[in-house]
Amino acid sequence: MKNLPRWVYVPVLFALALLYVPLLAVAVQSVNASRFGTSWQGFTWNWYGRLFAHEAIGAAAKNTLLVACISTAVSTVLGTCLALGLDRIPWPGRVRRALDILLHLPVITPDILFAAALVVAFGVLRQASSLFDPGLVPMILGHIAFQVAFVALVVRARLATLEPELFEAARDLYAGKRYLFWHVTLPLLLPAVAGGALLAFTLSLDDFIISFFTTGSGSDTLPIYIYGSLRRGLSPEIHALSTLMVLATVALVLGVERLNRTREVT
Amino acid sequence: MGAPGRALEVREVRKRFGAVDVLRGVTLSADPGTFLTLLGPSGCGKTTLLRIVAGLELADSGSVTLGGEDLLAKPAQQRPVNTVFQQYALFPHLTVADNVAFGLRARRIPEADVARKVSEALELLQLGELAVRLPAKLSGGQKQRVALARALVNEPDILLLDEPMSALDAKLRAQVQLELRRLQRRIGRTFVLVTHDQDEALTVSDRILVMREGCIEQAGAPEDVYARPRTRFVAEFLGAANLIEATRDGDACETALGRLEPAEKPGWTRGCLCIRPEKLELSATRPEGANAIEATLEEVVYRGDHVEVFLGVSGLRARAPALNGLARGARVWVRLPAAHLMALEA
Amino acid sequence: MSERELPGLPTAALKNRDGALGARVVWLGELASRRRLFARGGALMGGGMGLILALVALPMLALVALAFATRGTHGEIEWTLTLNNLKRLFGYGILGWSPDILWILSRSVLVAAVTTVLCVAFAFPLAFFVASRPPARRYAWLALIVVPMLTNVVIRAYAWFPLLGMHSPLTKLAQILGFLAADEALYPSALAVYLGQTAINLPFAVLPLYAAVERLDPALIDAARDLYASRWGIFRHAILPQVRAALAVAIVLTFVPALGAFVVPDLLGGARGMLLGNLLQQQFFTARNWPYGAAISLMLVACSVVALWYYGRTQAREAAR
Repeated sequence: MKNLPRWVYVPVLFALALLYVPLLAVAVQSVNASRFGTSWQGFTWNWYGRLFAHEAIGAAAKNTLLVACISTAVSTVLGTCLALGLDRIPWPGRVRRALDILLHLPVITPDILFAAALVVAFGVLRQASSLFDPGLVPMILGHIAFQVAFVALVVRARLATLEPELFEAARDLYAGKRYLFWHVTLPLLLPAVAGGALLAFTLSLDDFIISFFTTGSGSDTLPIYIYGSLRRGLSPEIHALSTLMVLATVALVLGVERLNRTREVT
Repeated sequence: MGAPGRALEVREVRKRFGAVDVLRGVTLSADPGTFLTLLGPSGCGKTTLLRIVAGLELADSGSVTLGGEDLLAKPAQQRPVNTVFQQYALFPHLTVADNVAFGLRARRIPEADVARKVSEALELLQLGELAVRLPAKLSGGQKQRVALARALVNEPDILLLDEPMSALDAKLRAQVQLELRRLQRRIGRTFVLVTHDQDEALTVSDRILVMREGCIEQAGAPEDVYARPRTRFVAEFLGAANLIEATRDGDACETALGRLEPAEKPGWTRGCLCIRPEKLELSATRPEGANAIEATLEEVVYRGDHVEVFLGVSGLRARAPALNGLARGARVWVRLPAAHLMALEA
Repeated sequence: MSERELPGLPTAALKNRDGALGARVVWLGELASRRRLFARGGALMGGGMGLILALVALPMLALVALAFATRGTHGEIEWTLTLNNLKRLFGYGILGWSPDILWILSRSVLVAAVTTVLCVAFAFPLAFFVASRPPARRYAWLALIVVPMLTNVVIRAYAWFPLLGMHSPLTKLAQILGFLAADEALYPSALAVYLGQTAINLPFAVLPLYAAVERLDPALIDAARDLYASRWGIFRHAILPQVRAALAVAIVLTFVPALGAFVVPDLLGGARGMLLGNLLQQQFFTARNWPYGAAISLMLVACSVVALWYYGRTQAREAAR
């Protein structure tokens, strides 16, 4: 793989430009003193300052974090259990394959269809309880439903690398079910569980459509707020907010990478 | 000092995986303090038998008892039996000392005792300096010693070893075999080793059980099994052997080499005679007595401490300390001493 | 055999009845009955699988059924079975036949297809590029590709506004070159949709291809270098067969989401750029016509099912190996 033809760098550069130039343009506009961004009128942190004073943005940020934290916590536990239940039990091949396909459903379903399915599901559940009316509860449940699959896949990939003899050895060395879980299974899975949790958190922040389809009054998240405000026209505050969110993603990706490194050591 | 531990009895153990009979009624016993080796080719069921004793596999029928106590009724974590796994299965997230302490802590043994026993075990296997290392930083030989310490620290009645040398290189293996033998003598516990390596079996064992297709083909002290293989399989699997097809005629046998007279009369009319290469006697002149034939030296291979000779009749192989001037192509006389010429069971 | 009889008790019934639920097994060193293990597995999976089943799998089946239901006067669902929703998909509306819906559907497929082709075309060089970096650097390059993938889609779509808007250098350039009238901007437009879609789906094509390219057998490529003079020959005969499975994954991972795109056509496509995703959203919210929305979603359901079927088949093949 050492000697690539020179021309390969052209599409590579173009692709990276496709990915980053728009984001950079937003970042530049977020520190441009010009309100309408038609020309460069000097550097300012002004728009960032306004961001923190903005009530609607504050509320949306709170919702975003609330949804991300709760859904991540729940989906990490459920996803880890799901991976264990799928991988550590001698299911007959057919059952295992069916479960495996079901697990991949949220991963492979396009967002919009996933969201439409949620609308239908909550439409039915709403008949039973007002808890499922548009708002934070269905939004959080919707997030969990797709996060759980990702967490389970990450954890299961780790489980697959652990030799079964480790568990047999633990039994052979007098470990009961609990001791085995707390002293062997969980410590060995921890990097993957943490990685899955970070991924789930990122996915929750990244989501727009599922939140958009399940939101009610007062439960808008940051992406929904941005989407709504775009209809009223561009504003530098939105640029500032978006830049901060991209930076948050960068931080999370770096966190996952760090975890990957530690996993390699053990 | 009487050997610690209790006697292991395995009776008529059977195991089937799908359509394959892995174990077809295996019976064996091990007195306390013996080094027992299950020797056989892969797929003969030796590892399955070991796993059944450890509680990592279920037997279809039969019994396994330890000092009269039924083992099969207990789950693995309640059996006074510990295993050294083929790939060692050290816990990668625990240090050497914590790996060794695992079995003690899992039984909630007071931490003071744990510390003492762990340091004794580390001492025994010369692992003291590695106590705080993680398994990923150990060499193959070190890993193996940790696995041994981790099992022995629990003072099991039986120590099971599943091909523990297969992950080591050939040079280290010979050394470790000796150490293992010494270790077993020193602590006097029962070791049950599974291997497909005949040298290893001969080196370490008090008793060898040669297994084939789920049955025990022959059991006995290493020298007995080697010197008196009962079947063709044992003769070929354990050491080199000259096998000679024969038809019985009275007390003697008719073979492609001519008329041969084994010391013991065979029980069959058509069968196989066997003689180890080092038992063949070569000479330039016709020797006294029966069982002598003339042959050509077809190939001579120099092996340092001995020479290996391929003779021009029936693929006969001989091994001699030196050839005293005999060279390839020479005509020699070969004697097959009756005492070493064995009739194999059909 | 009851479970209380299990560990530590006499083994009168040791005989292993293969496959029977109550049969005892030793699994990962644990002695238990099959039934108990299955019960534990069910309990462990219950939460996660329950959510997926209740919120995704069953509702998707419900969508299929809904497509044959009727919209009541106030947007409620009436279970009068009808084919009208499907007929509407083929242009037969209340006001007679019109090609509008067919335009939207075919445009959606076209946009998804072109996006997929562009993504794969860029993903190959990117995958080779990252794989050609020193191993220690690869993580950083991959992170560079993953960061946009995990950035919110709304941000990534609207980020094109400043670049393609009325006052942007690119727009001015296009106006000077005569591609645009003086009062037109580069967005909303079909071009903007293609740019946005390609940028958003590109990482999904890169990651599977990179995983395959990194594992390429260099011996085969060297052999091909001897056999075929041209780089194309090497690519076609030595590389392509080795990355075919990953290519299929890349195509599925771009085409399926691209077909269901909502944000990009909504923000960058303008009123005339409506695609499947926008129509779906409209029917579920603005028009409150769930049965028709369900009918529209059938295409996406079919795509997902095909993708899952493909995944299941590769899994079964690997299992058979």
